[in-house]
Amino acid sequence: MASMIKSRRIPWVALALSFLSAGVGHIYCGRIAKGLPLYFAWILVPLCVTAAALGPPSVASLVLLVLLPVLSVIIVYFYAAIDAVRLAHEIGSEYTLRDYNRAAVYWLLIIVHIIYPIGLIAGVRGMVYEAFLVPASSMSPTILNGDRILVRKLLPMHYFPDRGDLIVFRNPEPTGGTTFVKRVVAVAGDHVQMDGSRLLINGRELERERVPDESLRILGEEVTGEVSYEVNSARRYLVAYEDTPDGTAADREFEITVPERHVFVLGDNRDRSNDSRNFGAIHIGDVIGYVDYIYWPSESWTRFGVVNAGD
Amino acid sequence: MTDDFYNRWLAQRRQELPPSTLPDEIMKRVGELEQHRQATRWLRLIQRVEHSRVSRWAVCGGALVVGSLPFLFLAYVARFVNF
Repeated sequence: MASMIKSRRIPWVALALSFLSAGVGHIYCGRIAKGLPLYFAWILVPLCVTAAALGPPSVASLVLLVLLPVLSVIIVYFYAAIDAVRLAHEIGSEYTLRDYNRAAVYWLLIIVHIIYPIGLIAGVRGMVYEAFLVPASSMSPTILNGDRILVRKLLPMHYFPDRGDLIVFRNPEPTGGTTFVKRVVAVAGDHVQMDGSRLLINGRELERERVPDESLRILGEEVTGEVSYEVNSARRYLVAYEDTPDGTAADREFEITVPERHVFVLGDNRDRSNDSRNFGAIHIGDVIGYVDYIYWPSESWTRFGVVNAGD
Repeated sequence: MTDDFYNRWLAQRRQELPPSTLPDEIMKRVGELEQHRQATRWLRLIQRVEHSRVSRWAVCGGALVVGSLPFLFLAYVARFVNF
């Protein structure tokens, strides 16, 4: 039952409550219908990001379903604060206290609001998309040192990595980093052979098409060496050779048959990569996810967007 | 004379039984009193803060810091901050 007690709505209290939790400033000012949607705005993020993960990767998905919802909650947060102050000024001392105008209600809403977005973000990171900062150039020219990538963890049941996929997996060796990003070049049962710069899968040499040096500038200053398009099972991607500043190239003579439930991975920067040539094939249980996007490129924004496209 | 009148009134009152809702009524009043006390405590705190501009800024700044925790976690997850 609503009381008839009149009370003043203090603008700085509305601002502080809104800063603590978007929407609570509106509830303090008696605008619960407006306050609750602002309060639950964070739910937009996991819903949109999951929708993005369910569809094929595209720049539109990245912008509209991943980056825009995140930007929206930041905008909602500041909008709620400004609007709550305006409301409190407008109402002044002519406010009839509602049942929910209690300190306990505000505190409960604030505590829940600090916890639930963190839970939602942690849930998205654990099950839908995880962001990684790439600290090496072993995947150059596809992924450069300093690029931030989004790795999709939400996958169909019984989905196995395919040739050409970019994957992030747990390091099978006790030393070095905890996770690696590499490209799958061969799957279980394939025979892989490296002879100099030639890569043969099941006895067939992968086709390469040299990229002119003048076209490399668009990929970024970091890209060096001899860059070519490599075609593997209808997937076309960039690889680099002869990028050996310290003179130590990775092993170029190699032969293996990939065991069951394993994949063979190589870095796109073939001469500067610690990959399956050193630690063998990767068990598919160690695969964390698939690289879908570069959402924050280290230098050139021409590389913003999809990296694991089908062609 | 006044005493007689009073004694009669007292005897009459003592004969009357209290209403069955009296304990509930008393508990409700006690609850309301406690609520009012809490509200007064908050009001006093707010009045104290309102008198000083620095306190108002400090409260709003503190609220901004606490309210930004989910955004800080988002920045950490997106690999923009490291701790």
